[in-house]
Amino acid sequence: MYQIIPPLLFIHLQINYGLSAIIIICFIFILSVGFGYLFYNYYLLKQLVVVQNAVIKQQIAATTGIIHAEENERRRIAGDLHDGVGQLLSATKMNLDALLERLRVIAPENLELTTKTIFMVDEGCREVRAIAHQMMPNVLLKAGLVPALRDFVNKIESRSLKIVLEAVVLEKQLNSNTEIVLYRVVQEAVNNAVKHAGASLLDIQLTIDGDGVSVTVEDNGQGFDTSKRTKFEGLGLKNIVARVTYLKGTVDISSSPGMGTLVAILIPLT
Amino acid sequence: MSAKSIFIVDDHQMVIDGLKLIISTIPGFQIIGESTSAVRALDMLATTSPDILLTDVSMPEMSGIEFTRLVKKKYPQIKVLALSMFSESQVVAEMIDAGISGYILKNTGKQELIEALGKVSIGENYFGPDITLQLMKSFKRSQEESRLTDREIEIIRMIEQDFGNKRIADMLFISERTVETHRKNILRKTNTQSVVGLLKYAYERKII
Repeated sequence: MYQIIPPLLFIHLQINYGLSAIIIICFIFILSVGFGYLFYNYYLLKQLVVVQNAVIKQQIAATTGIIHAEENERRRIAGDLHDGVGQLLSATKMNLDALLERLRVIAPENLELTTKTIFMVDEGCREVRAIAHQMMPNVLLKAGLVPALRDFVNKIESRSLKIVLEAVVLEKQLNSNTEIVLYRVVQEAVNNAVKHAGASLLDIQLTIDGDGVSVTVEDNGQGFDTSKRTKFEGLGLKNIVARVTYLKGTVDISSSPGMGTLVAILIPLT
Repeated sequence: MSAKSIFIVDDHQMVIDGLKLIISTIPGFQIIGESTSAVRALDMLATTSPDILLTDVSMPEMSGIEFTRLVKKKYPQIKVLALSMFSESQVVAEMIDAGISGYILKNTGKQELIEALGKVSIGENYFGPDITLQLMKSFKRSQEESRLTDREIEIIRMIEQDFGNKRIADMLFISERTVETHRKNILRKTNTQSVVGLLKYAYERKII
């Protein structure tokens, strides 16, 4: 038996189906546009992160390159100053000394000028030695980080500031590059304390053990507000951060007005 | 009294020439040999055997420290007087350890050179004023004992209150690893191994 569907009803059903289909299609369309939008946004964000990471990587690479080049250049200039200018001035002084001896007999009227000249050459020798030392201390290359830091601390002339350096080295020597960069970092931190802190006590502690290198530089001076960016950068702390990052380490700078300053550096040994 | 004989080693010929000029005017001393190479000088010393060896410290093929050691081993009777651009106490200390009798700077004047040669030639030691100052400073520093910093005492107080590293770190605005460093330093300075030992130390000395 066949059920007879009236044509009118049949048309009605068809329209109904059509409407639903349209609604469903619209719904799917909206949904996919929504998802597409979300996905696109996500994609954009991801791209941004990738770009940012690349930029950071690039910056680190650039800093690393600069630090590396700078240290090499310093080593070269210090070497040239010592071996070239320094020796030349030393020899010049010796010659003048000998000349002075002869003048004493044959031209005593020139003695004063010669003595003055010798004095100037002597000053030149001292100057060259000081500059070369500042550039790249010989003791750092020859004897390593701890003797170099000891020497650096000994050379600080300050009656009002008491400096204590303690070093514990349980591991073998660090590589020369790491030592040089660490030396600069401690030098910078100590110089900051000496110049700006107005402290009476300065403690430098260095430990090299199985975990890595830890350095703390603490003073009991006036401290500063670490949230003030300009001061932060002006104090050469930015330099410290860049160099520690170069050594793949971390640095904590803790200070507040009246509470002294702590610079704590950690370099994990790989 | 016959003149004391001197042998000069320096990798810069002009320095050797300068020294020769000055020493030639000093009575009682005579230069019997020279070399710009420490390695060659080692052989030459076997035949020349001077009273005094005047040597540079920083040389390319062999450092003055190594050179002095070898000379003192092979020819212990030769007195070594170091002549250098460097006044760092570490370098001087190593040279003393290697066996020198004196150390002067290259820009030293004639008077000091006369004094140094005189002292060294009669078996005494001579160190220039700059060198003595550096040595004294380094000695003075090494005498200083360790003391706890304000921050370290603050941390001992926190340890006394049984605060963990995390809490101490948050309170001092430093990382936990830095707290760890502080702890390590504190234990080293107080020569203790545990919190109990540390607190005992702190109570005994009225630190907290």
